[in-house]
Amino acid sequence: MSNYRCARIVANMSLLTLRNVCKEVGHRMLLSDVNFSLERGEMIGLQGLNGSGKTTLLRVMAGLSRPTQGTIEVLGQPITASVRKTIGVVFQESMLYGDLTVRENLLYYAKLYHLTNPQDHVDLWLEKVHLSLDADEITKTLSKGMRQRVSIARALLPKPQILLLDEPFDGLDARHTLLAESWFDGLVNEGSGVIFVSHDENQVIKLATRRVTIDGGYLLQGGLT
Amino acid sequence: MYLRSLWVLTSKDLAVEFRTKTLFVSAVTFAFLLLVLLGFSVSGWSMYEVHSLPSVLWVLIFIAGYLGLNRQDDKERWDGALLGALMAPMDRSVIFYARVLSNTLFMLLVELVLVPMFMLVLRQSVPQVPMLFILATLLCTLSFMALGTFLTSVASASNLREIVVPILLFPLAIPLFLAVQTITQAVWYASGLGLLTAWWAVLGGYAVLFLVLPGLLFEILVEV
Repeated sequence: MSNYRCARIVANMSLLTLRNVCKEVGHRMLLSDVNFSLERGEMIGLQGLNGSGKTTLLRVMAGLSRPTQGTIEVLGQPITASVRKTIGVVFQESMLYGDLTVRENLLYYAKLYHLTNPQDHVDLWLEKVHLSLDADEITKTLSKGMRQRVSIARALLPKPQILLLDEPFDGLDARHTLLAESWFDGLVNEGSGVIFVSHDENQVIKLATRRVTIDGGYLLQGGLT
Repeated sequence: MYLRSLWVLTSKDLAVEFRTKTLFVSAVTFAFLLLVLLGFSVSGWSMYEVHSLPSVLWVLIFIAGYLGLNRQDDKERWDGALLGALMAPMDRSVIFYARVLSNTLFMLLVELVLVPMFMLVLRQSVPQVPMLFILATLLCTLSFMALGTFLTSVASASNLREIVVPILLFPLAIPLFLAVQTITQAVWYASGLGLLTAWWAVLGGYAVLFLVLPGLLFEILVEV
């Protein structure tokens, strides 16, 4: 197969594909026969009531939770260690160490993702999230909004191709909400794909290129493109 | 790449512990208080009972170690910190080995304070075969921390982890305890050293088993 053809296949390949994914815990079906794909340049707004399966779906997509049935592919491959590099997440937990400073936390992640010149990446993102002056603060002393900004910086540090966001604007003020929206938009314009959960209808209308609704573990609309 | 990730995770654990000292302080304080209580009752003991005291040292170390493991786990679970490591592009067994390494280093530090404290409070002599005592301590600490780290990591997502971990940890550690207490008693008084082959095998076997098996199962068990 020529390099040109390979490149075209990769370019056309879905970023993320879920086929017949089910997740059962005990006797409770959290996800039922979910078929879903995320394409390059898409920003999907995932909506649903509390307990409808949004967070479970994001965790399964991130490879943090194994589906009981079905397959998940990232760029046509099952989720492995090397594939995880392409996935960034902002979940309801900040995934930060409370006893480390903001800078130490970001540096830790930059090193875990084997970024070259990790300190430069960290300095850049500290500036972007307006936390340069608080870089040496212990993370657990920060406000929720500040911690959320660090969490967003953590997720965007390795420039992921797939970004999974669970209530990413939670705790952010208006200024930083706009800023975060512009970063996510920027990623989408560069060919990445974003899936975000938000209960704010206006935000979903404003940002999403496609809306997906989940209820009782079933995708009601907008699954496969 | 594997070793680099191992170092990043271990150095993070060391940075957190040197800043907070929670594992060290809680384990040493708890062991010291137990030691003092024990000291009150030892005065009435017979010579035979006093000779079994070195094995009591391991009861203190096991309990202090369990306490330390719990503290460490609390830090990993705070605001989903462990999830971040699980998302990183590396073999997830690195997380297990890094935690074992840092927990073992912290526990060895605790023992460095606890053993002289034990000798001082309970008026015990220095071990007569110190090199063998050090070897047994290293092997037992590594095995116990590997077993404990594995169980706390696996039970981390469970609401019943505070019950499940000790219920599994202490019974599973019984052969380890029997081996290390027999060896410690023998090397402390330099008696019956030739009869320890089987106990050394148990100690070594535990170290191999609980370093290899959890490493293979870690990825499957943490992704629930």
